[in-house]
Amino acid sequence: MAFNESVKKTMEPLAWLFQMITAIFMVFFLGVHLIIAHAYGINNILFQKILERLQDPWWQAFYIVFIISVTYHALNGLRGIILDMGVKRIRLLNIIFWIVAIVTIIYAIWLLFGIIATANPV
Amino acid sequence: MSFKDSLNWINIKGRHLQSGIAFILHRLTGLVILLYLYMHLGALSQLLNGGIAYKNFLSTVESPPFVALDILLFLVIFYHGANGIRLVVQEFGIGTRRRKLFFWIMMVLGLIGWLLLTYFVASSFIGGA
Amino acid sequence: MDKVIFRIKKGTPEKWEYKEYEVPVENGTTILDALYYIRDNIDRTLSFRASCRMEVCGSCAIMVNNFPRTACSTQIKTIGKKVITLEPLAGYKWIRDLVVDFDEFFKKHESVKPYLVRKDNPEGQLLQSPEQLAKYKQFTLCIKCGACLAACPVAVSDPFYLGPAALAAAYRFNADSRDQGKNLRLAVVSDAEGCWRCHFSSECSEACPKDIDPAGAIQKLKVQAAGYELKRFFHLGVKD
Repeated sequence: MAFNESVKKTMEPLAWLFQMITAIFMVFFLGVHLIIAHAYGINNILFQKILERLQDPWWQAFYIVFIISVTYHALNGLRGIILDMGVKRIRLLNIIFWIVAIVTIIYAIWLLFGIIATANPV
Repeated sequence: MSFKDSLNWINIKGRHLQSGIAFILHRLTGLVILLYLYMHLGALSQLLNGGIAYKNFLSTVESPPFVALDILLFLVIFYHGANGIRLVVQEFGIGTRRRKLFFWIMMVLGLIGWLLLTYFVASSFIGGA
Repeated sequence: MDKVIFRIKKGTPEKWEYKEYEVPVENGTTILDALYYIRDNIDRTLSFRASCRMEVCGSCAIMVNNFPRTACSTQIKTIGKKVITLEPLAGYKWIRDLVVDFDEFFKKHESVKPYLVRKDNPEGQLLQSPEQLAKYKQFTLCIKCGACLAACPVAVSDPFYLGPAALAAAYRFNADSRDQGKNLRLAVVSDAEGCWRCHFSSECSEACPKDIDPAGAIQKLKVQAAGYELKRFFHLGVKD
């Protein structure tokens, strides 16, 4: 291999970095989520309370970033577990990972805006 | 290399608590949380069915057996998070020789966090519900 | 004199069993001493590898009560058990008794280019300060015993994983100020079956008889690889 050939193109270093970054994000996000949803009895998870919270664009942004972080972190972790078992078709596994991740995120965001819409029936 | 060999990472014989066993627990708790994520997203779709259906759903999941399961889930989450913070720091090459100390510090912090949350959940549950 | 029973996995992959041997031990008797005793006095067919008897050649690594150790430097009295189980190293192709095939291990080690790589052909000495040496010195102590691979939960379930020894060797050279081949090595190790298969279970560092901390080396290697990838991603102009 010649000296001017660059490091093999692989997404793995970035995948690892994002696993670490989403991990740190989630310590914060999950901390807030657990306290809001569970530490005040059911006050914060009554139907009306939830709809109120979801009208606020900051909370919407919170939940969107939260779901993207969790989905990426969890599915990348599962991908790591499967790779550790010695698979030959790594590219196929990566493609499946992306499909499942994107479908999950789209479903969750669709769900979020569906819930918001129930408060403002057309 | 058989499929059975692929599961060799779960073996606890000969492994150390702060190293191999922490690793296995981290993965198992991660899988539990992954499963819970999809269950949670499914449960949240209840919110689309309107206030009355949701109220019934809420009274089911706020009953004692479910709250007990919730508290168990929190333990799983706090283990994964506490060990995870240790892993983030050590995977950047910091303090890799002081694994045992770091592990136990994070376990104590995680336990304290879990006990605090359990206290809040239990007290508002007993007081309010 | 005390007696300890050794349960040894004897035979070949086609036909094997656990055989028991009683060995007299005293303070200072090592597992290797016991193996020689068994072979010389009880069972002449016992196969095992050994050479230097002093933890420098890396020949005698075996599983002792499910944990990989070098037989020559493991004292029986320190283990403190009446029955000790000896098996061949986990995660390697088993040949017979306590002997495994090390070909894959050495192939993986070779693949990371474990030698100084230079673009030029310098005359005279390549100077290095004590501070520069301190950065990688501990990783030069590897005796290639293979215990780290046997301890690693990933290496025993994924045959394609490069393993701690090879990755620590890659870092040893990347961190050497005299070396200019960091990117060549990163091309090999920054791979799905390279350093990214490591999740810091750190069993390798628990097993290493020379206390090199290969787990630490791999994490530092990850930081190097990620740093390189980020620079390239943002087109910050990486030099070879």
